[in-house]
Amino acid sequence: MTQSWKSAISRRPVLSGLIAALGLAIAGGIAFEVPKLSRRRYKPSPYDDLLANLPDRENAARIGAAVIAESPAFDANRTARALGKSLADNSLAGVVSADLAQGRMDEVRGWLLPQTLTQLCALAAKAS
Amino acid sequence: MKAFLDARSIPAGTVLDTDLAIIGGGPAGIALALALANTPIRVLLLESGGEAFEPQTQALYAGSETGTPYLKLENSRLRYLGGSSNHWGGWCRPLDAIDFEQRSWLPHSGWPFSRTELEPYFSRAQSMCEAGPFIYDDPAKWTQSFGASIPLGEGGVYTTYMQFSKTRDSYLPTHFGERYGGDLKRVPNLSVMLHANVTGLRLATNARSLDHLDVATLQGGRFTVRPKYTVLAVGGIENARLLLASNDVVQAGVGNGHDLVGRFFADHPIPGDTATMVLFNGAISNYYQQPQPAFGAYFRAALTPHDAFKNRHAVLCSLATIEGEVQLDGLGQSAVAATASTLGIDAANMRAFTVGCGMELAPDPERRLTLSDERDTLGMPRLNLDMRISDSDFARYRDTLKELGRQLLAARTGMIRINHKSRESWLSVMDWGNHHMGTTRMHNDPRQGVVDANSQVHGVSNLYVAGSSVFPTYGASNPTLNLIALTLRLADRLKMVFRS
Repeated sequence: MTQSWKSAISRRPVLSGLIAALGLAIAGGIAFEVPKLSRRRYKPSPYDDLLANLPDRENAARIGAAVIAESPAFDANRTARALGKSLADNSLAGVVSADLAQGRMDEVRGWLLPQTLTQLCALAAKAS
Repeated sequence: MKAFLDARSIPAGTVLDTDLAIIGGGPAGIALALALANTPIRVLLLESGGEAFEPQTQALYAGSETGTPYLKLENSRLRYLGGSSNHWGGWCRPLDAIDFEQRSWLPHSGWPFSRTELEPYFSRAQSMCEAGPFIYDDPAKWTQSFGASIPLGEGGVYTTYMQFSKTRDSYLPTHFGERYGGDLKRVPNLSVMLHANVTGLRLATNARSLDHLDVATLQGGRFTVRPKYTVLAVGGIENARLLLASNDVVQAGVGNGHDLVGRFFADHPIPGDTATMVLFNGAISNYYQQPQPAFGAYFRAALTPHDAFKNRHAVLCSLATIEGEVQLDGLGQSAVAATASTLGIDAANMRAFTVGCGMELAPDPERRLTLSDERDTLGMPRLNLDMRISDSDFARYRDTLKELGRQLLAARTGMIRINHKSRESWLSVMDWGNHHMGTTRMHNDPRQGVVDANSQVHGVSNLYVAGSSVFPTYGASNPTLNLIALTLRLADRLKMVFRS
């Protein structure tokens, strides 16, 4: 049984399979890397660990610019320290939910936003 | 059926006797006259106008306005049979329970009774308004048949339902003169007299009762009506004018011993585009944006604060309506994108809407009507309105919008932008409801109210006031349904008075 099974495998399909697998791996690699290459790069900032929480940093930075324009005395380092504490053991989604439950909201050019998101936005603007 | 009388045909110097005179043929006067139908009470309803608009009669309403920009006094009401129901939008909603309560955080608040006192009358008032079955407090009726309400989760703001007056076989609201004119003619104990301008409420010399009414026509006719009882029902502005102008026996005017007549004037501010509401999934039931036909009437949803939220945060009532769709600017698009992504929500189908509103004003004794030096063609002093709206009125509505924004985000439904902050910005989008209230406010204490809990003018035994001028606090609900309920209650009171 074993011998006849071995003899049933021909060389050509094996090679085809290997080539297909290699092609898939290359395609997958491109699909994975290209967005990384095309993603906007930001200069390093002291807040990068916090800003990594933001799924949409570009739009956040636009909001942040409005926050800073309305609050010129915005203290980035103090805000970053406070955010670092609150986000140390909690996800951004969790902290934002707590903001909403507690009514911690900020108004940015009229838009009502959760306070933590507003602060991250301001840091994103500072970092950009 | 008998025809309406015409004051222009009454000889000068005539004295007409009647059991009850109703001054004013608007919704309150008509509701009262019909409620007293087929009783032993001989009723005479005196209406200044005719059955249709007449410019010379309308001009009697002209006055002056100072303070916060407001509507011209002659434009914000109508002076012919049916009164201001002739330009009524038809919006109906009963007042909230809290509107009747005395609130420690709201000076001058509170009616002399609770909402339960009016509840027996709402059903009949609703019927007169032709606004369909009385199902405001039954949201399941609407949502099961016409789609879900906006998910708001837990919080201080909820969806409420307005019902609309709709004349049978028409989409227009009930114009009381046109709709009930035939009914009025069929009431055997009622006479309706058109073109009859009451120019004076003449007190007996002891000032404790009303002796007679001076009536005039634009053609120069003058005669007298001598009723046993009188109900003043000429609207929230004119009620005060007649009381103040009738100052031959008491210099301050009838019922004005404590300088309250004309004070506490109120209307509902209706600022436009107060906020922009974003719904992340773009889904909204039609009844939020436009009145929808249902159960033989029309209904529409609005967003309003719960009574508990009002008390906890010292906010007044408001009814926020969702209006047309709008496009967001760049910052708005960024706000939605950044927020939705943070919440893990797909906002690809989001839509944004402008939010309108009807607001409640806090009672303010300095927002008042006073007699001016000008006189109309009948010799009656015209009025000046000193209109005011305080910054705290806007701030209170903003607090409700903030809560709405919080709830939308917490429920992962959407978000809002509040579009106005400064007083100038609010005033730039201001309109008014033409809902004149408060000028003959109701209170058991004569030092705090012009009429008592039975709508009787304090100190004048046979004079009553009907209409929204007796509302001491106003709510945000449109007044017509509520003033009719209150008038039906007054009709019961009068039946009792005449029986005794």
